[in-house]
Amino acid sequence: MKDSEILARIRQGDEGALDYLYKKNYKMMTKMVINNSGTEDEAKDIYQDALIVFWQKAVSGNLVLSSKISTFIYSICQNLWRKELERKSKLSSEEKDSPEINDVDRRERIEIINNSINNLGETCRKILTYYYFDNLSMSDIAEKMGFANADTAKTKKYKCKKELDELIKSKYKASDFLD
Amino acid sequence: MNKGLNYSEKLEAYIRNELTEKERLELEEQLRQDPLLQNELTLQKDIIASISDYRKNELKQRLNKIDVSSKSSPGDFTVGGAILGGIAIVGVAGFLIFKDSGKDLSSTQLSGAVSQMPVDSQHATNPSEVTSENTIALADTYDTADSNMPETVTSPANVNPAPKKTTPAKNTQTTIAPVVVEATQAIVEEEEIQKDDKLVLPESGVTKPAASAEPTLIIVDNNTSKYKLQYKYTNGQLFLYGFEKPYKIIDLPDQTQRFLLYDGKFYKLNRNQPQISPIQLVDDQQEIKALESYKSNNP
Repeated sequence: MKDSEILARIRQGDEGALDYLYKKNYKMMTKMVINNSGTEDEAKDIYQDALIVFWQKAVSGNLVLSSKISTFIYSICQNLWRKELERKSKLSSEEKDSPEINDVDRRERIEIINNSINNLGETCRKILTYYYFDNLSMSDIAEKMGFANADTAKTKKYKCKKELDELIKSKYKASDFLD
Repeated sequence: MNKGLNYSEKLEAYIRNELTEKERLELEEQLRQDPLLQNELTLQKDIIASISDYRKNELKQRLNKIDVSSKSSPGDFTVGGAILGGIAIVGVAGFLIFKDSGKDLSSTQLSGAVSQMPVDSQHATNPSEVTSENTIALADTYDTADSNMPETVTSPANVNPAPKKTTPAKNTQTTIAPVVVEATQAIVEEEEIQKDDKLVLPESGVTKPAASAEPTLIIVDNNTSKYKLQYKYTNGQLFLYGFEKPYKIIDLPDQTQRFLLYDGKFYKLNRNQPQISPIQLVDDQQEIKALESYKSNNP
């Protein structure tokens, strides 16, 4: 498959093209991390993250490639791995110097949000993830979800987001948030 | 009070950088005065981040199901098959030639037999990819060279495509010519990236906004010591020199100007800068204030 074809397929939201890319470049990308003091699991994780960054940029139609896809993903892997190494090094020095900071409230909030996302219907979950993560336009969402048009998608998205907000807020005291 | 519902969309637009400058400043003023609204903003940010994480995990789970244990890449089968098929056909052709050695075969008959080789081998080895169009065979061969390219590049001693892949070129000009050209070109591109281990590309989060139509490839060269905090644009790619600490690219929503945040200071980047030049420090206080505000809303 040519790069242009892969890109076109990803822009249509074809996750099969992502699978293809993943398998095709797996060895090369993970090798870079492993050769730079990473474990196999870390290498896999970094490669998956890089590929998802690529997916997110490509699927939204905002990516203009000036290099080969593999070069682009390789560069993302390099950057992510560099950041991870920095993070690890920072973490180890912080562990020595200061006690671990626990933001209990935030962790609790994230847990409530995640539970609420899981309690949403499949359709709503899809609409919201396509909108917020994949950055798809309303007409693309309508096409993917089989809605009549972009306006229908917009209305559904609004309702789904409202439902999610209400699910989350129902688990808090009324005074915690605006209603 | 339905302030929350009214503000929900506004906060969302704020988080996604979809507000006008005026609306943004108004909302920021309200946020300063209203802790509940600030709470709501934090919640909305967490909701959007959690939705993104959900989708990311979904995609990761999908990738985890893919079997990557096989040593061959998807394209290898096609090429391996093409080579084996080619050898088989050469063998059959040779057998026929020697078998009928008494007969006087013309050179056109011979080359005609051999020139069919890659197409025949495709049919013989990978029926699932067989189509009536030669263009598909072309694409597959092209891609196979592509998939092997990076491996070749990572070993500096071996910068040429594997000779096996190019062998059929001698036999079928139409199918092989693009393979050789593309592989060579790809190696050059890859070498440009790999000749410096510290070349990095920022992750997508730093190259906002989503509406940007500019190529996002940013290459950082930390090893060329003669260039300190310099940059250039070549073919739409941004090259940064002498940046030894983490940096952040800031594209304002109106796309008029690209900025760089480095070591606590803001710098302007001119997209029409083909020569390596020092980055220009932002010293206008109003501009700095706007950038600080943008930065704090887009951590």
